[in-house]
Amino acid sequence: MTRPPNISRQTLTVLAALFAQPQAWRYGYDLSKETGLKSGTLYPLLIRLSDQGLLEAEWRQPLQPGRPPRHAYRLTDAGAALARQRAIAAHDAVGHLAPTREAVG
Amino acid sequence: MTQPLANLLMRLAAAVMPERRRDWAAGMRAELFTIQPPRDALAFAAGCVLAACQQRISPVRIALTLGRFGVTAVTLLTAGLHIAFLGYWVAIINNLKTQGMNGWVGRFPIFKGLTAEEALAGIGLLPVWHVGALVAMTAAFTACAWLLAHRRFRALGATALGGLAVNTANAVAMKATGGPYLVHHEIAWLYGLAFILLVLTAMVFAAAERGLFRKTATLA
Repeated sequence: MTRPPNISRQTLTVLAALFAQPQAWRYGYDLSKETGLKSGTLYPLLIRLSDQGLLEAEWRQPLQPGRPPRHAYRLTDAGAALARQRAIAAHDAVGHLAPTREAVG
Repeated sequence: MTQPLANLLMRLAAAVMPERRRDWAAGMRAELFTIQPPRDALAFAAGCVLAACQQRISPVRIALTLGRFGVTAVTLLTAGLHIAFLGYWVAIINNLKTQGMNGWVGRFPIFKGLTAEEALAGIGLLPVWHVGALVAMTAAFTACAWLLAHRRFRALGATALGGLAVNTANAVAMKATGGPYLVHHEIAWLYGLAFILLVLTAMVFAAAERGLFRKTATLA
């Protein structure tokens, strides 16, 4: 059995936010607001995910005229697979914890 | 006031960001146009400066460099102490030869009642191989410090192993033969430990830097 890679809580938060709408292109500031992560934490995570081939980025034309194009991000297939795997693992962990809590309570 | 400051910070982030990450810096800057209120824009821009700095500076690389220079400093200090020790003995011999027992060496209790010739003869009883071993180990410490500072880890490992071999041979010979020596054979383990630590240092730093450079190459 292969051991899953260590992923920080912040990375999991970003993965979960991106995986909530896997096909949608998301922007840095919106992700920052949604995840509660400051830009100083969020962007290094996004850059690392992109380096690992888990995130793709592209320039999107703005909806409002007169504004510059925005850098947008979404999960690649590999990123979506990892996010799905982590979501299942988190769900299983909660499932294992539930009876314990009942027993304690 | 807040918005110009945010723009200024974003320009700083773009300047700090490595060349291969320029797209990311431009993406951060584009976000500024959508952020309200200006105070949030300022906080966002400040975070982007930190993110750019993080891309420029690798904490692992800094830790490796500091660690390497720390070990280099200790090794250099060890080498310096040994050079001073050997130099001290050269100065003693020189003083005995030039000023006899009237020099500063003449006041040493171990030479009390002896003539300069007798003192020199006593020093001459030191085995040449023992002095040679100490000189070789001092040279090994000096070379190790230089090699470590220049990241020549393979050569560092080989030199430290050489020093360990010389120290072991010297300790075994000292114990077997007996006689006047500059250092006691029972502290040989300390030299051995120092050289073993230098071999381990070479292995650890070589592996760490190989991993770091491989990671950097993958990211590039």
